[in-house]
Amino acid sequence: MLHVLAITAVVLAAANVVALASLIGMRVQLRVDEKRRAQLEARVADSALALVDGRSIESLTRDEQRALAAVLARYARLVRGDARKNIAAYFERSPAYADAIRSVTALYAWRRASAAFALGDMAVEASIPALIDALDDKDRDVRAAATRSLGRLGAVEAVEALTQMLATAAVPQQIVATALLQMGERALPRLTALLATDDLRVRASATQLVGLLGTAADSHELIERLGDPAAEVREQAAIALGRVGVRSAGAELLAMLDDRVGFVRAAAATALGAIGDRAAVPALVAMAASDLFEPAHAAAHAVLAIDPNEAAVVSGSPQLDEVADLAAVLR
Amino acid sequence: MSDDAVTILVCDDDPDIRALVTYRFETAGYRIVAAGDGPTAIELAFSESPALAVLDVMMPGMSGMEVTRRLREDPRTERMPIILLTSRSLDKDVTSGFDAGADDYVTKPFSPQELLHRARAILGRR
Repeated sequence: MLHVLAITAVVLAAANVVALASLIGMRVQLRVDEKRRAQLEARVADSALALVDGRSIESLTRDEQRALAAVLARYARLVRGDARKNIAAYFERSPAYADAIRSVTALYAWRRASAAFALGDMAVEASIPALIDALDDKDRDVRAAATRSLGRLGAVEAVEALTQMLATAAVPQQIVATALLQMGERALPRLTALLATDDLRVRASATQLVGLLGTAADSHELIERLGDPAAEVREQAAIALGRVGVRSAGAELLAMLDDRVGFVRAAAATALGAIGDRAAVPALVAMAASDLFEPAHAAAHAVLAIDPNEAAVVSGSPQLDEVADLAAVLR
Repeated sequence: MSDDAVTILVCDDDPDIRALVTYRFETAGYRIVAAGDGPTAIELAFSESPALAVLDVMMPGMSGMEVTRRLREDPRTERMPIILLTSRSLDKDVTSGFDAGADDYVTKPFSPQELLHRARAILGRR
């Protein structure tokens, strides 16, 4: 018995040594690879800068081309205008782009995701259709990578598909929102067109995005959404109007304080606070004194935002007492 | 580059941005002194007397705004033109930059060519 235990201990110790040695070997190999990559990138640095500047370069080895692609992908995130166009022109003729376009439909999900991610940094607009197709991929990482890349490429033709992704949470919402925000106001006409779509989740997401990207000029469409049959859309419309800061929407928002749904009333109260509508103060005080917790809390804080002096003297509910205390501190 | 080339100070903690700006200005005939952080940029501004500085706003330690304020406080650099390179484009951030003493700003992602044109325009006015 003792003999068996001794042999087992020796075997386990040997296995440990082998595992440790292989870990050290892998670590050393990683360091070597890292060093080699840094050396290659340093070697192609001038070529990368010349390409960004629109100059031609001498031919490179395969390894140097890979290093150049990595450097240019980093540069593509930093520059715009002609510099970005020059990077796109290089990639369009490069083996790296051809490989990425092939790989975006590869068998393994990690390859598809890597390719979809890489395409966003190559700045080649011709890759947009392949990336829009990748939004329907069965793998969430691929969809997320394609979403991020479409934002990097400023692909407004993907606005409808991306808003759908936001509405259905097919991709983490922050990634979709970031992609759409990167497109900026160029995305607005397509988003505004989605405000009247049948799918209430898409309408709500589009309303939210118009609020993030839009200006006072978009208030008419947002005011119309205050009458939407879906409470989620009315809530987003109120938040959006508060964000774009349109005082002329005060009357419509004031009417929303009587909405049958509490979170809509709360959003309307917050929006009135954001636009600083003094005419709404009596209604907000009454709401803060009598409504459910969430709308009452929003109404009380709206009073504080509009008129700190009024907020300092109000009372009648825990929410109003809280803002009175806050107003006293802020004085 | 000639010996009497105009000197530009570039300060950004991102080496890629330093490389891009340096290349664009050097190929246009300027001499570049580059720094990766605020304190080094201030030292170079005093020792090299650059004609213009391009400063990143968001840097660890000392921000570009703070560098701008310090350069404005010193008689040696109080009139040196400064362009801020920033990923922020909100009105209040732009206003803060001008309040700190900057002459112009360029938002990231940036166009190296546009940055060069802006620098030339400022230098031409001086």
